Amino acid sequence: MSRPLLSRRQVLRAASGLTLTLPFLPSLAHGQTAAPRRFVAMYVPNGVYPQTWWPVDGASETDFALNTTFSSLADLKSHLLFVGGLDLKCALTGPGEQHQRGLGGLLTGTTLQAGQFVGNDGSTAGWANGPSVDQEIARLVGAGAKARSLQLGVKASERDVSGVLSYQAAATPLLPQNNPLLVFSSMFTDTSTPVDAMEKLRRRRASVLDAVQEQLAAVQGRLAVSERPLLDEHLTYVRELEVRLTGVQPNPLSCTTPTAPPATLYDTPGAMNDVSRLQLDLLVLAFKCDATRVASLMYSDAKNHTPLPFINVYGDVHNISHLPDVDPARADLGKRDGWEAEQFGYLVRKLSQTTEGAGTLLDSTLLFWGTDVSRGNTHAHDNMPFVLAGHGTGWRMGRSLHFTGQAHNDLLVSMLQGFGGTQTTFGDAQFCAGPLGNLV
Amino acid sequence: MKLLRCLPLVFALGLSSCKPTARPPDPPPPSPDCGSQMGHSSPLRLLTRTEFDQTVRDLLGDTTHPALNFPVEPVAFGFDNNADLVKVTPEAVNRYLEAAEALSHVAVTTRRAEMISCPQGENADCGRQFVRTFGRKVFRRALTATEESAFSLFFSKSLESEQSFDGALEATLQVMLQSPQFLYRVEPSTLATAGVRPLTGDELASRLSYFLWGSMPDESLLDAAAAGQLDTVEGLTAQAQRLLADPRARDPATHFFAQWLSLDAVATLAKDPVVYPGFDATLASSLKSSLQQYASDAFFGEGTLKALLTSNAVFVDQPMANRYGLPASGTVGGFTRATDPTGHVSGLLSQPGLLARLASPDQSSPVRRGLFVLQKLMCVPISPPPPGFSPVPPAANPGKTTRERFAAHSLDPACAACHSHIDPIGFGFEHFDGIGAWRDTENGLPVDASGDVTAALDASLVGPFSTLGELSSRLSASRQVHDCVAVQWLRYALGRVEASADTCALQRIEQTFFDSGGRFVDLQLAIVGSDSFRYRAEAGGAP
Repeated sequence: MSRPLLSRRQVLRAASGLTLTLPFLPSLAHGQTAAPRRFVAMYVPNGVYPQTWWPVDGASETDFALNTTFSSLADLKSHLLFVGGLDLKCALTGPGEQHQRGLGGLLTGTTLQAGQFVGNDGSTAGWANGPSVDQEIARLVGAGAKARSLQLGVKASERDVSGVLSYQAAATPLLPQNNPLLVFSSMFTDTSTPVDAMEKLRRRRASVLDAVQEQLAAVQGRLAVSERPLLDEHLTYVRELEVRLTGVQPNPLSCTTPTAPPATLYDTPGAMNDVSRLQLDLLVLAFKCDATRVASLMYSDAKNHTPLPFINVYGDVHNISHLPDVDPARADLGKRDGWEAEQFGYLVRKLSQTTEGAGTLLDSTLLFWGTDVSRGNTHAHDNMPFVLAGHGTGWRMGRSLHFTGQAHNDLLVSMLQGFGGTQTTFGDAQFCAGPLGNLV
Repeated sequence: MKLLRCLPLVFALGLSSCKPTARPPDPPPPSPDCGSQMGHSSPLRLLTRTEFDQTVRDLLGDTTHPALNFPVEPVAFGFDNNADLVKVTPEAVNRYLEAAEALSHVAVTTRRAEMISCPQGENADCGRQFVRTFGRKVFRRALTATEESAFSLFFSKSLESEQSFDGALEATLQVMLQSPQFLYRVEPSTLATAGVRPLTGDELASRLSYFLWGSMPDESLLDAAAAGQLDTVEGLTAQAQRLLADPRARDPATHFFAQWLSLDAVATLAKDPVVYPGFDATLASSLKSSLQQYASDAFFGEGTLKALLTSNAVFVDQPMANRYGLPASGTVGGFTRATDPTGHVSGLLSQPGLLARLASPDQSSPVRRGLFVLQKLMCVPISPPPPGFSPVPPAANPGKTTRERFAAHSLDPACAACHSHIDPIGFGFEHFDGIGAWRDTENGLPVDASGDVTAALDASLVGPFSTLGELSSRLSASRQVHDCVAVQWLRYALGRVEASADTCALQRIEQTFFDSGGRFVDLQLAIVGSDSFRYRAEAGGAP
């Protein structure tokens, strides 16, 4: 089923045709040599089993040994950067319980709004109070890809603040897609359209979307003032869609027509391992085809009352995370962490094996692994188990760093600056002291 | 429903720390001058995925469920249609475009004759005709003059650029299907000064059809709206009765129960295979279907809350028959409406699918079951516990029953404040294990399934009970339980949580529902006839 999507000749023809009617295309302007830069945030729920998660330090920051959770990533050690000593300070206050606050603040650096979503302990909260860092990074590097970003889930079933990692803006959540088939159709639906038909399609889309915008503006004028922002956003999205669909080719030279994944019982605990693999494969493919440059990925949600039958964990994982350190059953959490690390490792490895120009996708990608609390049995937010991977920001990897209680907002700021942003704060500014040192 | 498993969890149920009181978010104290019209501002409502699919089914005959891959809606208070939460996203506008392209192409290719005829030739005039007639269906009202000329102009321009009549039809339909008049239920702001106004006939037609069909109005409803027949409660009720008699009325009711009972969570259950051998994805899926059919049977059969809570029906297929020892007809893949000869399975609360969901992977859960009764049936609110509690359920122990373990665990006074109300109800379910199968003994010890409702607004609910059947019939006669179902249905109907402006309407709806003997159809009609359904508040300053 694999065939080159477009020949170089077709691309040139398409591109030359486009210059007559469309604005100059930045992705083509830089030629095929400048690889897009990319970002992935991966969320795992309810903290980790710290005893086996943190690396064992040696004499220097580069002299460390991976702990058992990461034993399957030994070959990737030089691509990893452990970032200890950061606190999720925005999760210490505000509405909601610790898991809700931790997840909501992980990529936004904000406290939660008040609201009616009921948390694990019965307390309530609304959505996070600002955009998430992946969305900001998408604004910096995403132009030119088919979709601004991609939100993937592996049984991330909660459809409220406990199940959302990415935010377009304050109280504007982007819920993850758990079904790989639907991820596939959203990323790759018209990549196989022939170029000539594509040209005609583009012209029609431009005309249709112009007319849709006229209708949105007309209806907006008849609404109550309080409701107009809803259609404002709608208008903005349609305008962006029009620019994207009528102005950009998918990166044609590195992409083959993908095959749809099989149907899965994607919301069942037993399927999580298979679904994870399919989602990660689709993510790499989406990067390779430049269907998107930014993705967030959730393994279950902050409630996470699920067993993990495929690794013989039949207790409710969330409850296991609550057990005291001395309880032998808590070791199942280490087993869970090991499986999650394998997923992270699979993604990093696959990116490192996918060539792009003279390098690999890992050269242009930064990955971030985070969670909502540091330890499930205390619900603490200090010394968060964070690890980074990849070279998209040019940071020196293969190290284990220890910060001294800075807010994780500073890491978010560093990421933004790493992708060319000029922000000096991100999220709630009160937590920000400036970007972290010793990364580049 | 996942909030429990705690023990030191202090669910403040009211009474200083833990007494059941009214429903959550308690409407502010009534100021009821129930004589004058009360309206609440009604936010713009985006079609949900379910509504989109059902609408294009009725509009274009499409049964491919194109909205399946639209972004998932957030859920609040158990429902996916909360107007404040269901908002457009960048991905959604992309999906709308794809759906519009696919739908318009198929419609023009296969159903053109039903959408338009052009006896005078395929030209711009016929395009205008299409805009006027088919546009009325798409926008669920007659087009304004401005809309008609804008779309007609678009059509004739497309006729030129596409060099094809069908191409122009497709493009025009694509614009319509992505226009806010289709994607949203638009109720324009028309008052110059702040106040309450009755909805127009067109607005009511859409409210009515989306509430009772989950889909667009049909021709008769639009005609009735245009003729002013929806402007009186009688006329509106007559149309509501017509809609309720139509098979489409099954869709929203089924969707209500699916969400209220968390049916999707039943289908995805996984259990510890050592403790519950034979419980697999096939069985979980059977349990979901079985529970869905039970709810539908009660709703569309006898149609009362009493039937829902006390019907002795159970829907059994072969996997369920094998695992639970229930009678099945043996038809492959099919369900039989059966009665449990032992009498154990009787009523909603004993349905295996519900009980399997209200349990842990390796044991039953008196806490989850008690909370289901308190929250979903009695609408008892839950307040947050003090900080610092780290809830863990007692671990399985082969020497004790679940009841003994949970009872010991709840001795801590901080836990007892709430668990002394939650657990005694849940203990009444102890004859059913973690997959909802009957047991007389647990770990060789006799099961004690006596229960107790310790506190309730409705005094008739309070007191010990010895069987689930006894609890179910008590619940089914209770005013508090009727009110609890009514308020949840109202939230589902309005796409929002009740507010102070709904106080009088809600009181009437609750009274009507209870007086009708808990008939669901009467509940739906009472909602339709209420001020909350027929009026909207506006801030003024309309353009």
